[in-house]
Amino acid sequence: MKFADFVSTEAIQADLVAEDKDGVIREMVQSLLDAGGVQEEEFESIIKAILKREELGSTGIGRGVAVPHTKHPSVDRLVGTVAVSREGVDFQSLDGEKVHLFFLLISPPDRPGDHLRALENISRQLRNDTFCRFLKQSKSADDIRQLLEEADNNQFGA
Amino acid sequence: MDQPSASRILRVLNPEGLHARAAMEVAKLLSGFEAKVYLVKGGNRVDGTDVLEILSLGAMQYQELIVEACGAQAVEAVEALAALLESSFFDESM
Repeated sequence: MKFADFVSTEAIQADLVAEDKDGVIREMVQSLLDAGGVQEEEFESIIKAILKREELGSTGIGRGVAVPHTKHPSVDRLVGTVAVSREGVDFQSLDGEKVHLFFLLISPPDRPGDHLRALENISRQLRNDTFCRFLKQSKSADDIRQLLEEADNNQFGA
Repeated sequence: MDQPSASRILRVLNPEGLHARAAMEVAKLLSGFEAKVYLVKGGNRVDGTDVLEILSLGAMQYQELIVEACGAQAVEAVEALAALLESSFFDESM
């Protein structure tokens, strides 16, 4: 699975304003709403579900990366977005490091395979230090879009 | 003297595969042993204590993983991982 298969490109954010976990999740879901990736009436319910998942254990998986996610019946295909925080956010990560790179995923309850394949793609690309560094240094959503496209074309050798 | 080593083929029984929370549990478990543990799937060999690396395997239900360990507690680490993967842990949630 490629980034293009699940990342809502209009929702990508290069400079998150939020400074805490709740704020980051709210800001990212808001950008998905603005991009038409989720329905307005489901907005609060999606945020609540993602935060509930975080309560089970942080999705801050280390190396400055977090993958907040949930299943939600209001989506009929996997939708996601990418955001970067310049300052970094305390996400209660495994390694205690601040998180700079966020990949948020919302998947239909009956499609766990797609969710797993998206996580596989994200983590494969992030294993590449160059991709990681360029993503952190992105100055605009367009920079990020271009990077994801390059990653989809295997330009980082993942 | 050579370090003890152990390896085994394990099957993922989790209905939803090695998703984020499951990968974290694996990493946490393996970090507790005095052993270097690698997981191998389809030509990819990754550090079993690194969540990002485990997720990069994209291990789905019923797929096989080879676990390779070396170090003082290599055998114990492989045993513990086998018990965890076979327990179908975290099957109802991501």
